[in-house]
Amino acid sequence: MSESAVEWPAVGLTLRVDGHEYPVPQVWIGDSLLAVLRERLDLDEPRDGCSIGECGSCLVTLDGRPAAACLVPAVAAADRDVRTPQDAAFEAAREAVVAANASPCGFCAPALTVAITDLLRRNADPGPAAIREALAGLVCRCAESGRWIEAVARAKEAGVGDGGTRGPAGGDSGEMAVLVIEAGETES
Amino acid sequence: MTEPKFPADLRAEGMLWMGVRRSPHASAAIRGLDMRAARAVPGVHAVLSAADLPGYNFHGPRSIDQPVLAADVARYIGEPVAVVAAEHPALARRAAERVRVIWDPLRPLHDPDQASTAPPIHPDGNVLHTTTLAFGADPATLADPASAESAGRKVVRGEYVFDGLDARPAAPAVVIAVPNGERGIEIYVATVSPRGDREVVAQCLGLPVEKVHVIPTRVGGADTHREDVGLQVQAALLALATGRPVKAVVPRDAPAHPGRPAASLRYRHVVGEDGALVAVEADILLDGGAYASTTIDILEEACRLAVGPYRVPNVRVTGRVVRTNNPPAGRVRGGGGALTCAAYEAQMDAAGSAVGLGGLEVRLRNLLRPGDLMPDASDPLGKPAAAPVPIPDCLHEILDTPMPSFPPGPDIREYPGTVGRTGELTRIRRGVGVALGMADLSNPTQLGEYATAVVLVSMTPDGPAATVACSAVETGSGLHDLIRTTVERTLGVPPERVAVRAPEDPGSLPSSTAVTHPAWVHGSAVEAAAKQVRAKLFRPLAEQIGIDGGLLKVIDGYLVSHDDVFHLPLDDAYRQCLPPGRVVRGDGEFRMLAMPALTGTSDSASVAVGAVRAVVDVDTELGLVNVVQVAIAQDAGRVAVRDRAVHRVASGAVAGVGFVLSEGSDLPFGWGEPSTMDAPEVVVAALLETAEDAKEEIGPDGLPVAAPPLGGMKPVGDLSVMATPAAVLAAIRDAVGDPQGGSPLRLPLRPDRAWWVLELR
Ligand code: FES
Ligand code: FES
Repeated sequence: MSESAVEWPAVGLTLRVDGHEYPVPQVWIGDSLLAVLRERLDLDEPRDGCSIGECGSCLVTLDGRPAAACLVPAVAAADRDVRTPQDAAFEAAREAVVAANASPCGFCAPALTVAITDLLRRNADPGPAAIREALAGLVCRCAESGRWIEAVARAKEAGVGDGGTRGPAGGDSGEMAVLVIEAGETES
Repeated sequence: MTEPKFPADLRAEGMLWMGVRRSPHASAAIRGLDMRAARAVPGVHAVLSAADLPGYNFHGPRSIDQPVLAADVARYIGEPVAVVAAEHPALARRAAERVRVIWDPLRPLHDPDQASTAPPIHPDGNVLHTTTLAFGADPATLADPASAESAGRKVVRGEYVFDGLDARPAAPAVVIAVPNGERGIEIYVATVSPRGDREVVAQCLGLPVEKVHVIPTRVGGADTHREDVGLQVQAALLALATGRPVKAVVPRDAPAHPGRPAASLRYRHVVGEDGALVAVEADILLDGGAYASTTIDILEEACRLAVGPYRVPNVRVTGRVVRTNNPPAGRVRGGGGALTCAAYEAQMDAAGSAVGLGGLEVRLRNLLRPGDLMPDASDPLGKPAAAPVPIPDCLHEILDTPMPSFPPGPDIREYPGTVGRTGELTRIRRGVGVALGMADLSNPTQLGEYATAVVLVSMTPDGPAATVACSAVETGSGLHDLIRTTVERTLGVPPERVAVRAPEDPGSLPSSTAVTHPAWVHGSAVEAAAKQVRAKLFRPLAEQIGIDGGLLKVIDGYLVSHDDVFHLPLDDAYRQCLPPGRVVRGDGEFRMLAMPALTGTSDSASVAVGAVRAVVDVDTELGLVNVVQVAIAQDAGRVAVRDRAVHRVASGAVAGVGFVLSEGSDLPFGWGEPSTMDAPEVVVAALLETAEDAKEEIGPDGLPVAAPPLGGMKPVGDLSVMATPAAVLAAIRDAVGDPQGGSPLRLPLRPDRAWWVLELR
């Protein structure tokens, strides 16, 4: 084995992203799902705000559950259902975010669309406190939360979350939606 | 139209990643560097230090005192010492760790109070700047107990200490440098002043300016101040050394760009029995950190705004900004006025209770009126404030805003402490506080600002369309919307048919140095260009009625002459004057003179004022605060895009809440900003449009320049940042039953410092 392979263990893996299969060769085993999505698959969304699980910018869903992609090892995401903010499932929420001018600089918009969609899937009619709680894990320096609440209202009007299947009905349980991290099992 | 990309989203073929070896010491001499182990890491293409920099190793917006890479001494924790380029970020990190530095740790200077007397930590010395502004009698003699008591005056002292604040945007600091053969080096960065950056980078790299191209990308963070230029030089240096593109990302645990300086302010207010302010004395000390950056401007601003929107006959303000071994500080939203406002408003409350009139009454009795003096050093007599100062209107608006209901709940998430479920209804007290604030628009230390713009108009099947080429960078604050609105107002082209793009090669254009007043400077350049188009385009019509093309205006879908005699539907005018295929071009420039030049031409200061009411719930035992509502009314001069302006004001209020309650540069990753759980409901009760028509004058070089009050434009983003902390503070005092104020106070009042509750009670 060459010296660099010892210092630099890498594996090939297949990611399922937004319904497409991507074989990715030579992924360093320390790389996060976020790093591979952005740097290897050239996706601008999710964003990378901190790489350490603090800001929520990298929100994706993993088998339908929200996850901070920077905290998920890429190898642990192999063969699972990864949905980025660019997935069609988040389209309606994205339009609501734009219409409410809820992300003036646009950096936090992708994570916001995922978080809003997830919230409405869990809770078809969230009140302001539930909305504030669900979005509390997202760092944004430029918006004011009134716009975010408005974006949720618009998304709801547009039917986001209708027929949502996940979670207990009326799940306004105080569950933090944003930073639910699931590493999952790796296939061996 | 594809969205422009953030720098982090740019990738290039063969791109390498930058790693940085940073100082673990706040103060240490560098006795030697050993790069061999770092170079041996696989995938590493370059490891460089200050010795490899071909040009000048120093930069800085004011004094050129900050090294690109520390050479002989490191002055703060996290200061870059060596940089590496490697094929993967993790390899770059690993190689950076393996750069061996032989450190000789020195005793660090952290306390700004000791900076003036401590041995210098930089060849330029420890005192970065001092200033004294004074007029009238010396407040010290008026505050002398013997004379003050005999005259029935009260003396109110206060001490206010502010932690530093790292208000970094959500988007990380990223630069990509791409070597491009003969053309030189291209640098992609979220900057709003490509022209200024370019000159610094060229000088540090020892390259002619034409070989450096700074290309602004999309900017995250809705603010005008971004990455320090040192990062651009570091990335470019590696790119030139390796011949490959290099991406530099500042990790969240490293100091990325200057935050607001830590400060301590000492005040003495002398107030007469009738509540009239007799004298104000203020002493302001800022911790500039290791390098000067823009802290000198912040100090000047803080001193000019030390008294607030009040008339005071005798003023003495002394200010100092010093160098320490803390990370460099600089301007963030709100600037120096955000520091003084919380302090002078607490003083006004204290003065109000000292004379038994209450804070609001004392404020009203002392309101600044046009012609009253500002504490301005450039003229020993002070500078009178120009009209208008519509504080009473602002006060009415906020006091008329409906109050949120009390008690909060039953949803526990509405209590202080939210989901922590720690707030107890029995311990919750509600408080209401009001604060006034003032921003001064003619800062004497202001540098000149300049912008150019080109407007092209042509006919499309949908009607006339315009393209604007200008160097205004959209950061999310709505600058491009403002530009579209400006074109619509001047030419009647609807905003959806106005495209705003960067000039072809912003690096080579005399584009703009505009950073502090981007809306005003760029907006005016675009307006000038659009007016030129209008005059050229409709000249045939003007000639028919025998007037100059410049006298035609667009009003409500009509082309109208200055005397209102000529009226033509705009559609007809365009049909007659703009056949398909014709393109009409207009060029515009705008210059704001450096303020010393402006103050020479005008003897009045232009101010923007506002009022904020905060409503808080406090758990009086745990020190948990929930800011329920913030209502703001302010003088906005001239509002171009109302929705954007409202948003800007509201987000400033949220930033203000963070400033007074939760932020602090000691927090990991610089994030103590209020989350959606902590952010209040924000009511923008009024944006008063006080400006008459934009005033413009022609400068000595024939360019239009602005005279105070700044062509009617007033920055709307800063006032809420300044005055919200003061209002929240007053509301907290109200809740815990300490209306006097004026006691020593350390901000922010974070829950992990809940002792403040005990101190206030
Ligand atoms: S990038 Fe910040 S949480 Fe993942
Ligand atoms: S809009 Fe800028 S980070 Fe949210």
